[in-house]
Formats: sequence, structure tokens, C-alpha cells
Amino acid sequence: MEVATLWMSGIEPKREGAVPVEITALLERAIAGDISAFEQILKLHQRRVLMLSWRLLGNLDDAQDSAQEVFLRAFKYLHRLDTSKPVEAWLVRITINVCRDFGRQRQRRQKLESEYRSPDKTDLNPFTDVASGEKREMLRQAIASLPHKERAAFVLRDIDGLPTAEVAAILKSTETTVRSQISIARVKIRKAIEQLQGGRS
Amino acid sequence: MNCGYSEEYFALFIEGELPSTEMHDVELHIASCDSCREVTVDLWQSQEFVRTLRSDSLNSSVLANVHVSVMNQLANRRRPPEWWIQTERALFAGFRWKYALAGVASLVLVCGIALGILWKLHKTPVNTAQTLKVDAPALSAAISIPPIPRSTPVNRVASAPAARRVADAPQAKQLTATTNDYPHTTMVKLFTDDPSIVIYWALDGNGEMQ
Repeated sequence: MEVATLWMSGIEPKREGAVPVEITALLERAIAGDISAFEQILKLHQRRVLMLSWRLLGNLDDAQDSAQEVFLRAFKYLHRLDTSKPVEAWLVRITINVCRDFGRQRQRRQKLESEYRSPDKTDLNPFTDVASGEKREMLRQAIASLPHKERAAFVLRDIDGLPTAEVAAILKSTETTVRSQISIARVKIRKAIEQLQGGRS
Repeated sequence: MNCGYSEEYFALFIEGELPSTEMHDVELHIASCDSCREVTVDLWQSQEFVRTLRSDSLNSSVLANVHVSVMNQLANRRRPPEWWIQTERALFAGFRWKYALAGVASLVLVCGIALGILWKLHKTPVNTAQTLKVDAPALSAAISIPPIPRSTPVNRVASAPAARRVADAPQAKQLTATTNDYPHTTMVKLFTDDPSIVIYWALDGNGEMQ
């Protein structure tokens, strides 16, 4: 395999354009309290928010709850939105924050479960007790197990395909930090996949 | 892997995120180093696997669930509150409880002070009468005072003939004429030599004894 093809298969960066006038008008109506305008914003962005939540949390049920919370939080803080900037970036930032909170809640829940779990129950490690046909699901779990900042950077850059500069802007970080987080995450994911393949064989 | 390159470094290389000179150096290195090439290929394959998640699709029912749930919750939040909550908000609109209570306390205090002042004014005798100090007639003279002429104003009682006559009485000590708010009534108070005896009589607007 040619080495050049390895990195040539990279990601096409998405470019941020100016906010269309219709979207700005819609946002202004929503800020003024027009719930139907907010509903249209929700329809435009719910797929993106839900997908990102799913990738960050690794679980579709949690992702649905998270997406709901994202939109409720967005409605609550709509007056803080700068309508001259893309609303999607703002929603992505809210999604990352909400997923971080969900992740913390889940950690607490899992800690409690592990404390009170009866000894006869099986280990919940996804790499040991899940059938091999659920490889993608396990990959999601592996991603969800990354530390929050690494996970956010990894998902936005490598799955959502945003350029590093944009990821850094969303995470309010520097490109160097984001690159570092992504590279660490990639190595961890590779090891997780390696374990997964070892489990199958 | 003892070549001085870390896995993280290769993780950046596979996505073309190194400066061009470093990219070239790594390409040259992995062309000659089997272990580093193996690591690079593994990383690339895992990244390919990760990218398969991009093709994940969401069921439209999941999207509909989120949509309906969000809109329901927003509708619940915007539902008008019950009447007692509305009343409370109308009464204390824009106020926090402590400020509302402070306002009520201030109002009670002001009302209390105002009532106290009114009560004090009410208790004070409304005596707009003018006291005439004259030499009072004797008891016997007082009794025989004739009616005051009709046109005699209150403040001229002392100059009225009857009063003058009372004043002429030698034993009388003091004569006091009092009127209240009613202009047609005149109260005459007669002090005698005996302090235990004070004689009052009232005159109507016509100067007649009541």
C-alpha cells in the first residue's frame, strides 16, 4: 500500500459560509418568542445534533435525551445567540457541553451500579461479552469511553470531518492542543479495535 | 518501535496533519522500517473503520421522537399558569419576595403612623372658642343674666350687655365664654368664689338659653 494514499484519504474540510438572510430572520423571530420559527430551526439541525450526541455518547437512547436537552437549552439561551454567526456551531458547542454532563451522570450511575452489583452478574465490558456482529456498536462504546475533551475533538475532526481550526474554535482551544488530543485518541481507538479483533479471533 | 517516533506522531501523519517536510521524512522512514509501517497501517485501518460511522443513519422515528418531545416540553413551559399563580404574579410582578414583604411592611408602618396622628387629632378637644376673661359676676347675678341679643357674635359676648352686667358683679371671679364648631351655640362658663361651684349655660344662635 502506498503511503501517500494513507493521508490522501483524509477529510474534505467543511467551510463556514455567511449566515443566509432567511436563517437570520428565522433566528430573530425565534428570539422574539416565535415558537414555530424555533421549530423550523430544530428541524434544520436536529439530525446533526442527534448524530453528534450519538457519536459522543455511544448510545442512541442517551443521545435522544441529550438532543432534547440541547434544544431546550438552546431555546432558553436563544437571546444570547449572535445571529451573525452560524447557529450550527453554537448548537454543536451546546451539544458537547450537554454530552459532557450526560457522560458525568452516566459515570456516576455506573459507579453506583458497580458498587451495588451482585457478584453473580457478568462484567459489562463491551469487548468481552458482546457478540462480534456488534462491532460498530463496540467502536461507539470505545469512543464514548475516551476522556471528554479527546472524545469531542476526535468526533468533530475524524467523524464529523470538521477542519482542525474549526474544532479548536468550537472547543475554545488551540489547534496544537486539538491535534494532540486527536492523536492520543486515535492511538487509544486503534488499541481498542485491536482488542476487539483479538476478542473475535 | 525504537525509532524515536511515537504512535501519536504517526496518528497525525496518517491524516496528513504534519508539516510537509516532516511528512516526507516519515514517508522515507516507514518505507524502510517494518515495525513503524505496521503501526501506521494499523492506525490507518482503524481510522477507516472509524470513518464507517459517518454512514450511520438515523431512523426517522427517532428524529420525530426528539422533535415531538422538544415541542411538547416547550408547549408545557409556555402554557399559562393557574389563576392563583397569575394573581400572585400580578400582585408581586417583578418583585422578589423579600422586596415585596419589605414593601408591605413599609406600607403598614406608614398607615400606622397616619392613623396614630389622626387618632391624636381626634382626641384633642376641638376648641375653637375664644376665652373671655372678665371679672365674673356673682352667682346670683349669673343666674339672672338676660338673653343675649340675636346679632351678638361669639367674640363679642364680653361686650354684650348681659356679659357686661355679669362683669359688673363684685363677687364673681372669672367669666369664660366658649363656642364650639357650631356657630349658633355659645357655652358660658361661670367661676364663682367657691371653686367647687362652676356654672355652665348654653346659648343658642338667638341668644336664648338652651
